[in-house]
Amino acid sequence: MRPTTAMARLQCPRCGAEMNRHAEKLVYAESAAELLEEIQACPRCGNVESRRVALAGSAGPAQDRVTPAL
Amino acid sequence: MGENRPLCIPVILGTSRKGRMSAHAARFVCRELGRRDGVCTELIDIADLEHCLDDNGQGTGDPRFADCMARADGIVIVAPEYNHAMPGLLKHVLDSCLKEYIHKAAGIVAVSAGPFGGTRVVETSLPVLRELGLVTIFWDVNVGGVGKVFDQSGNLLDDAFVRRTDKFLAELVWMAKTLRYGRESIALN
Repeated sequence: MRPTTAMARLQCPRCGAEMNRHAEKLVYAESAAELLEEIQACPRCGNVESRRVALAGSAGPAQDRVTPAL
Repeated sequence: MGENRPLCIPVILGTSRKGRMSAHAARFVCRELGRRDGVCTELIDIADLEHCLDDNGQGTGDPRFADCMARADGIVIVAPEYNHAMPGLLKHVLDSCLKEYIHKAAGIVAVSAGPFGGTRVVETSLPVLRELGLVTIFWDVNVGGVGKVFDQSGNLLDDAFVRRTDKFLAELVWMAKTLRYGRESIALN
């Protein structure tokens, strides 16, 4: 399963360097959609950022979907 | 670039229990870690953190803890064994972050009053740490019979722990360096 759209590379909000996407974690949102949480690290300052990406076959913007409370 | 920054490896004291002997183990490991070149450390006492007890999960914890985990390249978790597992408050604190841990090194210092040295808390913590995205090392420090390892003032009574901790930290630092390189330089395909 791959993200539906190619995402632009993240710029580090602290120092502006291009971040490295080094991990993905599967998360489950409401409406049974599956999302990937992309984890990125900044090679210059070590900052950590993440963003949610929709998987192929999922509809709607990934960032709008919430994970149900258990 | 990143390799010029010192490795940041905080030590988490994972219990808030009154009279905790685990505090002696945590301070000892923190001192030993602080002696290593190119490593900075700090002691995070979970008893000093703000806890949100009417919520749980990512983003509900103390922002100081999340900031520290984001800066960290690895962590040492000092965990006493309570009924074969880590203290509930430590699990609650660990569950408050996720992205901050991923592809970072983790080592466990297990503390018990009895002869088994906290081996059960190590075993039951490994799947938790793995799910959080941490990469556990295959050395532990097992502080069994903690009352004979440290006196009430925290003085180390058994010098064997210096050697054991040195081996543990050498492995942890290697893993932390390697994973930092990977996080910052090797993209996921």
